[in-house]
Amino acid sequence: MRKPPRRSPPGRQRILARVLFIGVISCPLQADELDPVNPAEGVRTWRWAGDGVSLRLTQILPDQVRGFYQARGFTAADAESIAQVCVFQTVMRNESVPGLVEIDLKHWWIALDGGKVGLKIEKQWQTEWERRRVSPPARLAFRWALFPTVQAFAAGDWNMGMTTFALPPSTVFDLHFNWRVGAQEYESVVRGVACPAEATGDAS
Amino acid sequence: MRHQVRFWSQGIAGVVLLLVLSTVHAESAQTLLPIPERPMAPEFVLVDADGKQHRLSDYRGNVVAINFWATWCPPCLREMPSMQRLWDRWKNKNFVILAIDVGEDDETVFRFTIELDTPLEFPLLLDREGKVVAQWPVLGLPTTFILDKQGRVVYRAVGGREWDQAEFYGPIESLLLE
Repeated sequence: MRKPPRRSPPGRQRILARVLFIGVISCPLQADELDPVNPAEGVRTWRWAGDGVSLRLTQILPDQVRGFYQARGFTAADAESIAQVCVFQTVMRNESVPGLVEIDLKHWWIALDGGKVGLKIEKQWQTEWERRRVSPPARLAFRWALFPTVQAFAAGDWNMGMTTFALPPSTVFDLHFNWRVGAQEYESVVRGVACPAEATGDAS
Repeated sequence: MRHQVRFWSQGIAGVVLLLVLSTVHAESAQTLLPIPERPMAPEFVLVDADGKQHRLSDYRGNVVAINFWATWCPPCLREMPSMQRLWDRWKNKNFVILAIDVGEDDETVFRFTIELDTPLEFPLLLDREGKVVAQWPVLGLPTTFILDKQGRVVYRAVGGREWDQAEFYGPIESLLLE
């Protein structure tokens, strides 16, 4: 796992600014879970904004994952392997940063039980799809539905896609995410993100 | 039974779509990223949803917007009506929109068009195997490129936009006057 990035060595003013920054930015993080977007579905959303970028995570329920991928060429068994992990519809935006905001999901991690775990990224999935002989059209649909591993956002750019975490339903975790603008690295955390629970009702 | 499963699947997919649509807001700045080098756009030949063949180089002399999209992509659907209005504004003034669907068949695209409130008049091309999009610097959908009359890439926009806005008229008008 990559060592967490650091900003350039701070002087007193920078330390003060950083403390203020952390105070301003991290306080809303835990309180920034939005009201359920769709109360009937019980879906939850977390949103973070700061330093000219924003990140939003919305739960996708296992049944929704099954339906989405079965409608795009996955067998029930293959779609089930996605539904069994934790899936979020993820939106990242460069709201106002003049330069390119660059991200690499390989450097994002979650804190869980005192350890660090990475996201399950596209390369890992594609290896699995190859082994399971998933059809090329289905793999293509998967590739475009997933949040890309590496991206760059100019001001006003944004993207939406699924991020996946190899965690059981209902797991609660802190997501540590980072981005780069030129040589400057930034990081933050969204606390208390919860994997969606498996539906308990009869779906037949 | 198979019909039921398909119906159920599509229904759920629709729920996902609505869910995501309800969470997305286009509050970000309406911007285009200039590409000062103006590289030549990769050539392609694709058929549209009606089976008509389109070769990119045949559109030289026009300002061309190339939009990569898919029917299941909420921000793609959201920007389509504004793209149609952009088309309405300049369609007779050497401005062309080519919307390239990634990875889907003509039936899927056709079904999408008849369900859309705004009829789309610009060509919807089919890149069924994703071979064309692989030649372009596209990481996510939608991504749109604006080409000058020489077929060079001048602007890029990642993510959906409201295209019938003043922020886009100036750059396109400038390219039309070049």
